[in-house]
Amino acid sequence: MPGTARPADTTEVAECVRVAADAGTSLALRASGTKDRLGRATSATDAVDLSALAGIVTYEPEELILIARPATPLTQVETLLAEHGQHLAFEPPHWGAAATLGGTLGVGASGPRRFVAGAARDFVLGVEFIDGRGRVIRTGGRVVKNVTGFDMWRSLVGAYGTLGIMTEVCLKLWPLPETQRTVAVGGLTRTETLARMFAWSRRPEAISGLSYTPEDGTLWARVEGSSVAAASQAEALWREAGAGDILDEAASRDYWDRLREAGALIAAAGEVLYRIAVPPSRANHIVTALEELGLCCCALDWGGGLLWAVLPKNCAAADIHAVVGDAAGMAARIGSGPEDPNDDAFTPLAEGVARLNTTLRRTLDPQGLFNPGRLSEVA
Amino acid sequence: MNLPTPQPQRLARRADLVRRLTHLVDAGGLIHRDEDLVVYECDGLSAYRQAPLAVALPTSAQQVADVVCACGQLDIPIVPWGAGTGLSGGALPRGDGIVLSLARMNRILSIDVDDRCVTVEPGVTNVSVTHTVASHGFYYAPDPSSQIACTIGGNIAENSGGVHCLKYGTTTNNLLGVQIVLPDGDLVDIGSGAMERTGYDLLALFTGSEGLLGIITRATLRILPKPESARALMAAFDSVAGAGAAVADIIGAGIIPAGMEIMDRLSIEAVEEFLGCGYPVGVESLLLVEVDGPTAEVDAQIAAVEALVRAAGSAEVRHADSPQERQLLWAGRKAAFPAMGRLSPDYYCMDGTIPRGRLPEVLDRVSSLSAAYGLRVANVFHAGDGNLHPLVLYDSNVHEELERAEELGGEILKLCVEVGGVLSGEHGIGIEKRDLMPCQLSDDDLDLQEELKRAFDPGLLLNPGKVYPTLRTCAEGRMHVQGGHLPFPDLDRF
Repeated sequence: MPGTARPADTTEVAECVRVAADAGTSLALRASGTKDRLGRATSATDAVDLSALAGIVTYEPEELILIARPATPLTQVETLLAEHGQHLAFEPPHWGAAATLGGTLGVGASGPRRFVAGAARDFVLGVEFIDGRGRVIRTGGRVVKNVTGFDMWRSLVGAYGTLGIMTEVCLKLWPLPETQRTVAVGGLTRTETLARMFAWSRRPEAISGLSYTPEDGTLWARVEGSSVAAASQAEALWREAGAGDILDEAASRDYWDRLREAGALIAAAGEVLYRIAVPPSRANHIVTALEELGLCCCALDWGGGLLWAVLPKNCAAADIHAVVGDAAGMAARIGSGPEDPNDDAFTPLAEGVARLNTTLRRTLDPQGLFNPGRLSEVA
Repeated sequence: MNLPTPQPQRLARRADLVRRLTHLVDAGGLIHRDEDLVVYECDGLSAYRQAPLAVALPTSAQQVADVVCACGQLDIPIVPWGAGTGLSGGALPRGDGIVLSLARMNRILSIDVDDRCVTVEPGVTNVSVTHTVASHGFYYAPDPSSQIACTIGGNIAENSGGVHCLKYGTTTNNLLGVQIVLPDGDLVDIGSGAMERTGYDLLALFTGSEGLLGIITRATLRILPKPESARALMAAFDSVAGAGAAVADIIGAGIIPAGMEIMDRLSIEAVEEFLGCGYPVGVESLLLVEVDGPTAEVDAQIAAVEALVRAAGSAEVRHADSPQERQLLWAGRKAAFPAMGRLSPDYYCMDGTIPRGRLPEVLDRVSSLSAAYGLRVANVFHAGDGNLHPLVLYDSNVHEELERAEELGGEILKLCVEVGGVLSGEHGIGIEKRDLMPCQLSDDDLDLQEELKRAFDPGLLLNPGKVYPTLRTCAEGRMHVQGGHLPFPDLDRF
């Protein structure tokens, strides 16, 4: 990058934005760079390194809130919360040891618990950010219930930094379940697994993970809670399955941590990884269609609502997006590295939705200063 | 609060408007005779009344779009309308505009159990969603107490909550997709049964936008499996602060109750007199706690909750384990608003949210304000999520008592903002709190919000005059609310 600014605080970030707006330049938002493989490459002329905007501002366990600056390392937040028996219930993937809170929210990263606990955006209560005019905007607050003006705080989550630069975020926290168990049932086909997932997701057990790994045909079901409740629920599921194993707490954590990071699915040379959200009832149809495109392997998460699909590199991204889009899903292509511009990262938006996206972008960032091209082609 | 002055040129177009709209909706789908419009002259904030030029009752998204286009061509403002149960005047008509009622779009379109969602038209009532999916073992979590009447469209517009918000979220956390008619008449589908979307989170932006950005014509809602078990208890305290401390202890112990409510002495006595549901009288506050989930978990948690409330000083704890006992326990809480009619000819309900831990301090200061203004204030509080509903009791027949109630209400909301809270937790800003917005939002915040409004609705025809103040100083924010009588006194309220 020709110019990289390193603002020390909110005021300096706002100043950077005003300078860029006056000069007609654009800014790539940077911290640790762990999310570079997600989304498209930006065509920004300059960069703003937000690493100095780090640190926890407020932590009030009894209020279930934490306020932190965007470059705060995710591990720092998670370690602090765990010491107080709390956690981020949306179980964010890190995708790199140096992952920050801002990057996590920027790409809206949610992990295996998402299908019951909610997504990253559901745990954001308020945001302070700098808009494209260099104004310091405070939206939302620090309370769960809030209907005071348009909800921009959630809109910023998953925007890939294209609507503004977050300078402070307030998150809703959740008690950490005392323990967990995972029931693993092997030797199942995908069709059998999905049928069981649908049946189990109706059950009253506190199932907080429901995934499938294709290499051994294993269905994984996690229950969390107190040690008594978790053990008895795991046994109930295991009895119903009539087969399989119950993983103890350590083994259970290990499995879900690896799935969260999609560690088992790192694409080999000549392959590309896709993260695909679908209505669970369409999962089987979509996987079958992807098989016709040469699918290498596909794991399921979120009770069938998320596919981690590996496809050959020579398979056109547009074909994959067409299959997924036709079935009311959305696919995100994971770039293979710095040389990959990942132009077809996202399933294209329908015309009307695309127009609303443009309206929102132009209102918050009229000059297109922030991460141009990262989310969609620059008009 | 001044209602907008109707523009004469719009009034002059009324006959033309009626003629055009009549052809766009089904037979009987346009109400325009003055005597028939009376029904629509106010929502739940009944102190403000203004009849619209006409009421259109479309039966399809296309008809909604056609009506919106016609109004755009004639420069006629549109106020979207669900059931009219809102408490902030968000659906108050304009004298130079129409009401667009979604009441006739009330079909359940599909139940997708495997996708754990249900798709409905906007005029479906909140409670009927749960009734529809109950036989599958599911329910819809947001449960505003007006749920037998309020509609899903209105719930989305106001981001409605209920008593279970801490654990299960508000409407925005339980919505997967919407179809919207935009101010230019375009129909757009946002979201689907999938749990993530490409592009910006427009669902977040539209939820709670109080009808200013678009008109919802279809919604896909997340449904949850019914918990295996639920148990509740009621704990009496000799101070509100004691109940507040118990709330902190329960959350500190890692327990997230499905519902957690505090009532003060005045509320308890009013409810007990009204319903006779077995609340202890003569105590300063009651804490109601319900936990749900797997049976083994619930049994352990309710025992832990009992130990915590006793340790926090509760002298009396009563359990409600059967569905009937729980229903009776909650019936009292849900009847708190109607019960106030026993104590006072008029009352005014506030809706601020505060950080939970500030409750004792806020209630102390509300109590001082109450004494200073010479008006009683009853308090019911969603202790789990910090949503405070002080009810200011007054008599509009007493000289200047109304004005004192108005000032007191404004002071209470400013206090909520001062301690780190917000003006509205679940009732919306509407016209009621519009002029208090500068107390919470800076000029830059308000500017950006209004820029968004203009970008999405350049003609400013969708629910204009709501949410955003014309005057930008907090000191100007006086609320002129009259008469606390609700138009549906038999409806439960939060």
